[in-house]
Amino acid sequence: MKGVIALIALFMMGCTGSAPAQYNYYRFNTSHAEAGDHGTEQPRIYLDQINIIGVADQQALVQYTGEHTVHIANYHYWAEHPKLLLTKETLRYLNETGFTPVLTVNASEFKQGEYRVLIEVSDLAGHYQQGAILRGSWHLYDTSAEGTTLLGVHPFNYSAPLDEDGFDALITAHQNNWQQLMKYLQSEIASVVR
Amino acid sequence: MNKEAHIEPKPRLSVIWIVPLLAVFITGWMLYQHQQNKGHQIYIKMKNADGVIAGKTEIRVRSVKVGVVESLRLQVEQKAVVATVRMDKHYDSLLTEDAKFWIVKPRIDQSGISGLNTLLSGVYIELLPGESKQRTSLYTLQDQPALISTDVEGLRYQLSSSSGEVLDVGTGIFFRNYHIGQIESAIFNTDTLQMEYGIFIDSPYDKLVTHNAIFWINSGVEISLTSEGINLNTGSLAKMIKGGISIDYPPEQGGGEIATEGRAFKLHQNFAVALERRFDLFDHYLVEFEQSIRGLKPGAPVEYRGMRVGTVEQVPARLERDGLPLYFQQGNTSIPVLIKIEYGRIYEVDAKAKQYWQENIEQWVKNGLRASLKSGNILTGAVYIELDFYNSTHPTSLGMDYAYPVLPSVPSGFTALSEQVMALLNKLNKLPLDNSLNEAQKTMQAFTALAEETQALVNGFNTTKVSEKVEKNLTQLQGTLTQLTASLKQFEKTLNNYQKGSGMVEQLTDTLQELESLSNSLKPVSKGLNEQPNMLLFDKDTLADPEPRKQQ
Repeated sequence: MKGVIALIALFMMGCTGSAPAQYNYYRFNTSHAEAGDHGTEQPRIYLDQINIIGVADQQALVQYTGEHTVHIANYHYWAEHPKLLLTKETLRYLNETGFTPVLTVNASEFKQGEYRVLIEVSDLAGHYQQGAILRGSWHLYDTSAEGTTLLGVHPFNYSAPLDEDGFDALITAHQNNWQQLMKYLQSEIASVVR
Repeated sequence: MNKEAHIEPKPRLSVIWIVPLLAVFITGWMLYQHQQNKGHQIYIKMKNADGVIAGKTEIRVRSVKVGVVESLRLQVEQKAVVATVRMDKHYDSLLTEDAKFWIVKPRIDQSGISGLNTLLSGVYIELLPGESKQRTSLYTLQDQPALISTDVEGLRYQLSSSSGEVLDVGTGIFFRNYHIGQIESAIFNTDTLQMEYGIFIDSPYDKLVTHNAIFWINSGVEISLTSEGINLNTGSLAKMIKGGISIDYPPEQGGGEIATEGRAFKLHQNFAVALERRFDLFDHYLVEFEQSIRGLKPGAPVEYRGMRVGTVEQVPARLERDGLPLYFQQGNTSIPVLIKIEYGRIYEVDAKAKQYWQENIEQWVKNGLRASLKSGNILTGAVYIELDFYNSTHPTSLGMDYAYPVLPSVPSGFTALSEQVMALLNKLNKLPLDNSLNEAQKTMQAFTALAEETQALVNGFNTTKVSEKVEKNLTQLQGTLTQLTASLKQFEKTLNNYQKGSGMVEQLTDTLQELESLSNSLKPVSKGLNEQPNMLLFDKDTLADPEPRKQQ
């Protein structure tokens, strides 16, 4: 009998806990222009889904809190998986800058004179000293009827300090890093294409 | 007073005598009644009185008591026992001359186990009444029970057998494994040296015994090893133990006219022999073999291109000329074999077959018909005689030198082979080998010269036109390979496009994406459970995330 009472008490304690924990979800600030129709003359850029390697390959925000310590957030998450978020952001940026980006998975065939971009992110985290860091490399391929040819591998390493304390500032710093990468990528592609 | 006594005369016969008279009368009447009620007295002579007890052993008909053994008397001089039997009064009519008596006791015989009830009650004597009108009072006890009661309907036939096997009385007779009768008597006839059997076929199966019926001894297990191979026939378990006589019609024939009672049939040793005897219309021929006839036995088949037309009768043929065996005569090295051509095997209407055979046999022999020995069974070494046409044989005709026509033969087997080898060696000996060798040497020299010229010609080809031609072909081949590579790449590309665009791949991709999304969603949960296993019951009390700080 005592056991039953203890079990019921335990159950009641579970049901009458404190208020639910506060979870926070984040995304980039998207104050972008509408996607324009660039016609058929604009070269197509085939974009593979962003590939995140390592601990950042998850929806929880990651912070490097020390030289060798990492904290994976318990209450602060990306609104969607960061590789989807970054892919979407890349598509949007390329579209705004005059390219016709197409996800590779949706491409039926590659044509001569078109390009393919693969971005691999190795670090996407908050940093106890550098604010937000973005590291990795991106690959540019030339496509033809015979297949794809690797034109170049471009490593990148960006860091952006936080303007203020808090997770919103961290997200803003991440977005700044990504914007820098996009500019770099756009200029490189543009130099190859045109 | 003188009184005289009155003396009454004494009665002559006292009344009291009535009592003994009455007793005598009653006794006499009883004796008379006793004599009247007593049945006939008969005597049964038996070898021994095993189990028979005076005053107790009963005489029964169909298990009804009709009499009793009154006494037993030993007759030493006749080496017998005579039983005095008193029959009941009402059964005197059973005592016919052909009535049979036997002792019923436990028996195991053809019909199974019988008489077990006598183990407790003691033996009794069974009486089988006869049909005769004559009566007798002396009988002889039978050793065996009477097989067939007089009231059983059926017909009796005779069988005669010259085979060595002797069948017992009571052996069953089977029509296609169905018991239809039995042997009633078995006697060895010393005149004909044959076993003669009297058989009884129960009604209504007596209709099965027709004029063309064949009888053979069925021993239960029959193994025959002949030139036609091993033949194994078995019957039912009972028949395997007891054997029996089988009756049937020849194959592809039905029953004919029903045989009359008493008809005699031949009892054959087995079914095959029974069938053999059907070919009653045949002619004997003699075949002389100039080779060993080892393995050829009487009964072996005579075939024409695989079709059996006859049977070997005597090996060797026991024929004489001038009082000497045929095969011992000077100038005759052949071994004669007597065969018979059975016309019933050639055609159903044997008379027509005989006419056809006799009209054509002369011409067939002229055209090359010859007899030869062929191996019928490698295991046993049995051989048979094969008739066939041989075009390369010397022309000859049907021999008529002996009592029977002689069919010409050709050697076969090893003999034929050795003859051919000998002929080949003779030809080789006759060849002018010396001249041939000279000619061959000259020819070889000519060939050598020709080979040298050919070599020179080939060298010329190698150095000039041929190499150019080969080079040209290689160039064409390279072009073809280039085209083939392009085609293969095109094919690969087409295949890739097709795979990407296929609905199944898209569906699979979507499913994998959903799974990935689900996995991502579950990662925080699994992380929380790792850090706080009771998270599902209690509040999540993991530490708050460290707030990112602005760098100083």
